[in-house]
Amino acid sequence: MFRIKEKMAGALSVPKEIALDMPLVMATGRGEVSIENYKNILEFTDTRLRIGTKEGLMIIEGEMLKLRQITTENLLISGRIAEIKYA
Amino acid sequence: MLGIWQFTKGYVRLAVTGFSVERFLNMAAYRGVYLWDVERTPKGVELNVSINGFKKLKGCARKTKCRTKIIQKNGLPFILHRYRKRKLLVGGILFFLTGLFVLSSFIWRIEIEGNDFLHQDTVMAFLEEQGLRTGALKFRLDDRELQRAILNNFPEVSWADVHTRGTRTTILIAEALPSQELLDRQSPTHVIATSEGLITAIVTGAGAPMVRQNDVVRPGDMLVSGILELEPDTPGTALVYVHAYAEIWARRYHPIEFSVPFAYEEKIFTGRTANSHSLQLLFVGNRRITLPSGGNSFNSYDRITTRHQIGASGNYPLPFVLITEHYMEFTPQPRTRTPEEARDLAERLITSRIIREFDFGIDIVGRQVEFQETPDALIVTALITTHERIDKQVPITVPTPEQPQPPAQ
Repeated sequence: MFRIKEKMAGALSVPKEIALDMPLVMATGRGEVSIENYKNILEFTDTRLRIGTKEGLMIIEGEMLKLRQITTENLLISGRIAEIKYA
Repeated sequence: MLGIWQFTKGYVRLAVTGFSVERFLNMAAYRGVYLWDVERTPKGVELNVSINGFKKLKGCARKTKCRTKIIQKNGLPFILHRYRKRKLLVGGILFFLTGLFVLSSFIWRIEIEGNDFLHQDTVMAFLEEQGLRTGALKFRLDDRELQRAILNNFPEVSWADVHTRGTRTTILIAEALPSQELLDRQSPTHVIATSEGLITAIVTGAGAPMVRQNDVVRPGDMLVSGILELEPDTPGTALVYVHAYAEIWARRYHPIEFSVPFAYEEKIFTGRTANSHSLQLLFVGNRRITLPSGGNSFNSYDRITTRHQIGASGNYPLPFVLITEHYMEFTPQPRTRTPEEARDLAERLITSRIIREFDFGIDIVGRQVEFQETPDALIVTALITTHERIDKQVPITVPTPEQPQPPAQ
């Protein structure tokens, strides 16, 4: 099911984050990261941020992490980012 | 931009503590509450939320067993709330805003630009007639209407632009060269004298000359007639009307008389100066208030007055004019001129009068100056001889053929 949807999205060239609810991560330098289509925040400290997405758990590590904006679809994180990874 | 919006709507800084603040954040986001500047603290998080959002957060806090505490209230609603009982302040603000509105709906400054020949005061007087003066209500004035009125009233103005910005009206004028009265080349004309003089030269293009060289004419005298008799010797012959034109030069004499007193006072400036200031209020009948500073105790002084309208350079000139009077003290020193000095001065005065009073096109051909000394003054009699054109065309009204009658001259 999932594969079919992905192929269709590819064939129709619809952006995947829209068709498949996939997270879209955009990092500006190392000071700001914007994550669209996140599911929930699992852990938030000033050095570590764990975020649930459709693709699994995403971990952002760094210093002085701050959530600049929280809306239903979008997270804007600022701070000194060291690592962005999926676990 | 978002900051201004949030400020007007009002927002609070909230400290959230509890077992799982992450759940609280998720629930808030899920319910569509916008949170910003979320920071971790040892006990929980601190965040900003709008007043409306804060009301929705109460449910989230209860469900996730978190406690919320307002740390700081920001924004306009809180400021207004704080001052809600200060009626005088609110009244003052309203008074200020009304004053601002009322005062800015008047014209406080009128500027005229581009007039070289036309005098500023003439234009100002006309504008005042049309209702534009300092203190005129802005919305009663129509710039286009005024523009048209200026063009219609002053034939020497070829283009005018009136525009009002703020409390200032600027009138831009372009002047045309003074147009000559043009007469149709077909219409019959006489040539008459514009002033008195001794005819020196006649160049007739058409018409019958009525004067000769060395004739003395007076203003309005016929110089060249536009009515010709076909057979001059037989009376009652047919008349022909022509467009007479001629260039007629005459010698004119302009006497100048004045006297130069030998005794005069010279101003010797002592170097002591003083200033006084006053404020003119344009909105209450140009009343002047003398500011309590300065003034002078000089017996003899020259005074220089400068007027500065406050805010004159911007778009909103204010109806206040600061008037500064600068006084310079002098001691009058009685002096006497020698006859030679008086003569020199007289010559200079004559020259400056010639420059001031005579047009450029006039040739000065002679200048006779006679001096007569009296005990206390030098009496100067000068006769300036000029050579100038004195011809002018005037149209002739031709009697209609139905009622033929000899033209009266």
